[in-house]
Amino acid sequence: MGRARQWMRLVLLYLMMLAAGGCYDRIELNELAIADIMAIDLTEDGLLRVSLQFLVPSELVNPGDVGAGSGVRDPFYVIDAVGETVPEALSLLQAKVPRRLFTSHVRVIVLGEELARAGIGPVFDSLTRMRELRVAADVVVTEGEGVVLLQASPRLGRLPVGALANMLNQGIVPRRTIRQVAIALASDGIDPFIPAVGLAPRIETEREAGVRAEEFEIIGVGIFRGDRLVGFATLEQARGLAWLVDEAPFAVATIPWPPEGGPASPQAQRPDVSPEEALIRRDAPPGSGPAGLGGGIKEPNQISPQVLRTRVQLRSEVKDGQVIIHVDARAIDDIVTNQAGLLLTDPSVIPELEKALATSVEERMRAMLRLAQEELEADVMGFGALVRREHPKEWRELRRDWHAHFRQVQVNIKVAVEVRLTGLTGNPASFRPEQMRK
Amino acid sequence: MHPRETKISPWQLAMILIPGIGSTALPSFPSATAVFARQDAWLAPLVALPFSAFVIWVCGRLASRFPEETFAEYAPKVLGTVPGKLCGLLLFWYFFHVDAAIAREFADFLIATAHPRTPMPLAVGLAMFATAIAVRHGPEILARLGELVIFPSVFLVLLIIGLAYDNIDPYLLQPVLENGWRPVLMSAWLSHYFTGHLVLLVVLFPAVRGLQAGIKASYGALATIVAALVLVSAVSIGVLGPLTSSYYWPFFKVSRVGSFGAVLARLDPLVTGFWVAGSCFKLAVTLYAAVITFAHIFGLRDWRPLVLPLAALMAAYAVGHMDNLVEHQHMLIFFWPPYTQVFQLVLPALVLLVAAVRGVEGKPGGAR
Repeated sequence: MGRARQWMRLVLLYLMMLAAGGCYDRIELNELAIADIMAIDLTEDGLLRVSLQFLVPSELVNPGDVGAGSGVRDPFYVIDAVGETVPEALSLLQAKVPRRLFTSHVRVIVLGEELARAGIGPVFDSLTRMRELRVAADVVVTEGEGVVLLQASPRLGRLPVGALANMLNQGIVPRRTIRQVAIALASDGIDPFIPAVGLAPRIETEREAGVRAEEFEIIGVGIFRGDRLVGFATLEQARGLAWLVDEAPFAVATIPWPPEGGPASPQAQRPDVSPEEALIRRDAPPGSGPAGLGGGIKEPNQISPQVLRTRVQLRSEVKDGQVIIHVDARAIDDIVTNQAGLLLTDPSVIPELEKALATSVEERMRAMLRLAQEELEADVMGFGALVRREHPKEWRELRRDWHAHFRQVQVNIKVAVEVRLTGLTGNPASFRPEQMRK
Repeated sequence: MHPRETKISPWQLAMILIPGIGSTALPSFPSATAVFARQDAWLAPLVALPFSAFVIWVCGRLASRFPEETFAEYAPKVLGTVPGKLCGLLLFWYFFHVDAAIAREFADFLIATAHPRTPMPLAVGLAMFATAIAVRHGPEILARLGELVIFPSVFLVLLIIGLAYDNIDPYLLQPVLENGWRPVLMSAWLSHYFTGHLVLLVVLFPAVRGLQAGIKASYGALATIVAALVLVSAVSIGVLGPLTSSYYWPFFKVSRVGSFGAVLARLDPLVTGFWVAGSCFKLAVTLYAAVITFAHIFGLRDWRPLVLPLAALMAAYAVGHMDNLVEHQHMLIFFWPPYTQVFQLVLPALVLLVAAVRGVEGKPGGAR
């Protein structure tokens, strides 16, 4: 091995070290425009308006140091462009941004109502095909224009996207990612749903002029038939949906006590106290204040459970072409409010309470089912997919006209609620013994 | 500088086979098999298992009949000089073609996921160059490379699955056998194209110390590969459901889905890195097989000078032999399964059969 050859090797080694510094396609961080939310709307001419919210890293640092009057700027800004497809709009958008668009960090994709009503299928091809987007990004719909959401300036957190993603993470309504929506679009016997988010003005004691004060608010769930938005479920109905798809939140759902149809409240029948007298006497039912001031708390006799754990199992049955879905829901509850004054230290009262709570859960599911089956005819619960899994042979017959069958699906709901805890207190701590109910 | 100076142990053989076959299969595999079998694609490798085991059996019988010889050396003895050499050339062509296809797929993945503006000749050329340098050092170096690649890869695969665990919906795997066994068999055929690549053994067995242990190690490697394929297929389908066949690299997509809170997420750059490592390794093993086969057909004593030119040819062929990814995928799904059977099953089995009928055997104790 000659000396020349050794030199050659050394030179080669150094050349390789140069290559190790970066790859052919490298791009530095400060040459990127990092987007975190994307909104897609349909324009009046049937084109797509894609709006991106970009981070401004330099504005992210130390907002506290900025002197008074200098005006803190938002650490983000929004730019949009109109095109026939999402990538085309993005490439036109690039003409308005000095750095290379970088959409890998898009965490939430907002779909405007117009677009959702026209059909999200075409857009979802781009969303799943584009290299940079992540299929784990959340999808939300809005009532009205989607780009409006990008103007929110939530007080908690510097970046709106963090607030929005966190809000979805609370599980008030089931969240949906690009992947989940795309699966629902591509699957037999299931229609997609997407959480609906709106804006709510913030109450501010010192409201400065010109300061935007809009917070995100989850308003329910957008219900789709195929790829088209056909309606919105309210927050109440969306919770029923959450139960049906086994993504029930840590929600509080209040029931009156005694439950409707149950025995009347013994307090209401107290013979020794007339209603007028009750308003004066100390042992009047708590919360039943004078009629002159609005009649007191609307429903003083409430019990609120906090759902701790749930498990919902769905089973299907096909009998002579009639589809029956059995919903078997189990929940473990903690009682967080007992303003009805129920004697919670009495073990015999618990089964009755559990039954009443179960009925309220069933009511929620029924409300969602009414909306889905009767009003919108959208199988967002995936009953069809369930039948396909469990009865593939019968499904072949049913699938042709599934939405007609779906209307007729009979749903048997069985809810078992287990009250395991009653908060930190047993009997209502602020009630005197004679104010309790048995 | 004779190739058989270096020998590998049975363990090292397994270390060559597992990443040498599994590496490119993992990200792309469920996509192709899900085209036919849909949610049952995870069954395909299991159905293909006996056929792939048969490949090992044939290679093992051949190796024990002709110890220390490779296919290109004993085929002429069995079939006569001209047909034998032709069979050797066919096998060489198989390795050549597969290697080019692997290089192509490697470049496609790299360009599609990470480096859209990198020219394909550069991606293929660099990989081939690195590969050729490794191959020049013989099978033992390959085995050591394999040992380096395999453990982090296994850890990475398990990590991806662990992180994606929340997003796995087992319902997406149902109904099992919705359309009967036919689609699964179609996919199994496809699956066998991957695992049947074990025909590499006709070249590798002569380099193994202890044939019987080597055969055992091969069966172990096959079991490992099949288990990995089943697991990865099931997870990909559980995460992507009906989208599995739409994505070219479903498992890569799975790696982008999972996260462990904000602490650990977005593993895809790691996956791309290991794809590069794994693909290069597979390229190396196949290149080695091609070079050895070519050298033995023409009775060359030293195969080393062949490595770089062949690698260059393969790189050129990889870049040129297809126009686009669609063609590649179409070829992979519809052309490769029947085509590769010729080389993986028919050719070795034919030689073994004729050898058994004619009673041809190699010299005990080695050919040279």
